[in-house]
Amino acid sequence: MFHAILDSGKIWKQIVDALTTILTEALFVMKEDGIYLRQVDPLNIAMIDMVLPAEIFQEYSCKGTHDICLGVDELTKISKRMAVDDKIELSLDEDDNRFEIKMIGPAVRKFKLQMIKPLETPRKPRGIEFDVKAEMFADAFKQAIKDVSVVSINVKIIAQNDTLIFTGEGDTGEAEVALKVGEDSALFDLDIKTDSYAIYPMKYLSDIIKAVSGDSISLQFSTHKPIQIGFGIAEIGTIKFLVAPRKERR
Amino acid sequence: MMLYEELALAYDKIENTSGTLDKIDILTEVFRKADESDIAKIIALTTGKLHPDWKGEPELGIAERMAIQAVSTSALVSESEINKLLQKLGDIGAVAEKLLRESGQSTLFAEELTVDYVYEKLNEIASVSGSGSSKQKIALLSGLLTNASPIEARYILRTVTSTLRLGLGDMGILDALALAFTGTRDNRPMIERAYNICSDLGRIARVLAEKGLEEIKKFKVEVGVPIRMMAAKKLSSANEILKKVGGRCIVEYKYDGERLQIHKSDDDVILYSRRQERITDQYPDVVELVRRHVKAKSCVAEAECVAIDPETGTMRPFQELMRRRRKTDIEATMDEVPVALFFFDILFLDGEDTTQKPMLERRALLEQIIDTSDRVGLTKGEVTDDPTRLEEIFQDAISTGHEGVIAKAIHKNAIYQAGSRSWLWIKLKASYKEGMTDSVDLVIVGAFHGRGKRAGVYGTILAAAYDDTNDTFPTVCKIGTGFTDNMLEDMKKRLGPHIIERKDPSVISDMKADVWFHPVEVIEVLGDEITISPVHPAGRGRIPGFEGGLAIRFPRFTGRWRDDKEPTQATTVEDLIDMFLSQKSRS
Repeated sequence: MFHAILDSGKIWKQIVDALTTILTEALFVMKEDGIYLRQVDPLNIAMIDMVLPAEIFQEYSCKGTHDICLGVDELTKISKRMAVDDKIELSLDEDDNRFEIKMIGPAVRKFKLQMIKPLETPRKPRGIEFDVKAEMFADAFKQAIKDVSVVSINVKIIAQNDTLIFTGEGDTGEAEVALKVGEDSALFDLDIKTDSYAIYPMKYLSDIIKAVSGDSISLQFSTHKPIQIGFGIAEIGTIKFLVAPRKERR
Repeated sequence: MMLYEELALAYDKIENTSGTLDKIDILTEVFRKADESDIAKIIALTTGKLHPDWKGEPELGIAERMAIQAVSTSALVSESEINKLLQKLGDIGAVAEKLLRESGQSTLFAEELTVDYVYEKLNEIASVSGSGSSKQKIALLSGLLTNASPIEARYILRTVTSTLRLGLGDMGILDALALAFTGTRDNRPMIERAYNICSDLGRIARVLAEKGLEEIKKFKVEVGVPIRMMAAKKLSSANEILKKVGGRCIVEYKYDGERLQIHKSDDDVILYSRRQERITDQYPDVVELVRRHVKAKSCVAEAECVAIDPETGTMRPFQELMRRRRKTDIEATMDEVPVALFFFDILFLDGEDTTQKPMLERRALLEQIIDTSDRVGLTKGEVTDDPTRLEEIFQDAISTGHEGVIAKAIHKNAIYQAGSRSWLWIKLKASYKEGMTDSVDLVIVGAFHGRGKRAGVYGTILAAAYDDTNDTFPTVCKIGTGFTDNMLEDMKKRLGPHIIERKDPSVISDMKADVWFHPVEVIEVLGDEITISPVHPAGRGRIPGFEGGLAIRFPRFTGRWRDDKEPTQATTVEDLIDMFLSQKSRS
């Protein structure tokens, strides 16, 4: 049994936007204390790790654990039909193997989605140690990525001393965005164990910034290791993306 | 579990080794090291066929265009950049290897690719179907490539695009199996025999690895499992033929139709083509004829299926039948182009393998079970030991619209030799004139643009024979005659889908064609004679006393597309050398 109510369509849209960035199928695990999703994209380059605690819902009840796999395309189409102030009711029709999304506004609209057989099982969490941890305004991060994307298909992120640098180069030129940590800076916290740098694929970061919904984000990475981009959703929910680095050109 | 990298490294070694025996040794080593459960998968990856054709399972079918997109996604490089590199390097495998080596994308949870994993992934790719399937295939393939090392990517791509050319055919693989699991190549013939009656290399390998040679010896003909067809040699004189077959033979008409291998078990009938495709659905009328006129509970028999005129009952040319084969509305064409069946051999009858019985005994069995009608019968045949009579039968056959005759040995050792081209059967075919007494079946590999009257279509085409010693297609002639305007249009339409940007790696040519094709389409060609040529590489270095390769002089297209033949069933270089030598000995 699963049943939940969200009082804003906006949050649901944010959730679906995050899934669209890297997935074609979303495998939600509904548990008694909330909804979990941890999946890798088909290319095994990025992972999304989402936790939606029961408390972010106005009503939430779930008996046992349910794996619910849905097509992301279908979810997106439905979320486009949603008004931001619609109340959203989610439930599971176990007999029919369908997931029901009800939008309650001036009219009550009901969509039933066919559940699909998941290709993979959810990933186990892995503890990764990072050498660099940065906290910054989400908007500053978005702008930095967009700036570098003007010239490059990759973004190199460098952390040294008290500065975080985003750079890139391509056939047409180079770009660099530097952020020094400080109270008035968009980069309000930078914790560096050792100076580090790594290159990440622009395509993934560009898609991910579109899904960032919170005001601030945390970035964590190490030299030649994946980067983790985390932000909050509905105050106590979290979404974390992990993206594998590019190997450096010889 | 064997790592795929180990297999990829072996492929690399095989490619860089020129001697066939050395290539076989490398493959033998791979078989020895592999787990039993991996052997059949190694064979599938090596031959580029996940399943034997006749099982009708989905095959990979990854066009180069799709492979380019997959590489573009996994290497994060634009398709136009890949196309540029492709022009330079010539094969998508090499392109992917270079790109991944230079600037790869690492993955989150790197998985080591095993042979098993790669095989299963490719199977998954093959079984995706329906709308949007190519997008999904590309996504799966790029996922696989992202996990692959550069050299692994090279070979995965070659396997999926059927361009893995190691220079080892089925026989080379059988040799390696014999060496790996019995210690000596001397056991090859026994293993080959099993292969010829089960048409499944993977199954042979599995049985050999798990149970050994004793089990291989027990292989028997099974209804439903196609037997590799026996083929005939060719000779040009009745005297020579009689000498070869031991003085006496049965001379059978060679019908201008499609050879079918018919498997019957009660009312279930399966029809296999010469290419071992299941073509049952294309001949519902044949299935009905078999049910009604073959009085055996279970059997495997071979027959020639011929198109006939519904009004007069006379035979119509092969092309009519092929036209029917290409139509989708079978029910309608069945009435327009009805067929007749002429049985000529039986390989299995009511529980008994009959391949080891002599020819005339087999024919007697056929006579017992075939209920003759105007649409079903045995091939016309006559036993003779007289060369003059043989010639007469040949002339009769030609004048009544047949292709010629096949003389078959009838001594006690005249068995059905599955899978081989044997001196037990010898063909005498018609042709227009002296010189080359027989047509050849060549593979179209390239073309030159037409000028003047032929502007807009191909003016000449470049044709190749098949070299089974190293699995290549060396050119043997340029063909510019024998085309009608309709044929030229038809040719353009047929060849269109096979156009590739560069010469296929398996094609060997000193000439630079305007357009290159995947070696797929097979045509029948007549020529005046076979000559030594400085420009065509077929058989170069293998003809005693000559330096050049072989070419066909004054070649002309007969208008007959050999849709029933795979490119590897085209005339071989070996055949051409035989023809050249016998032509020389006659002059």
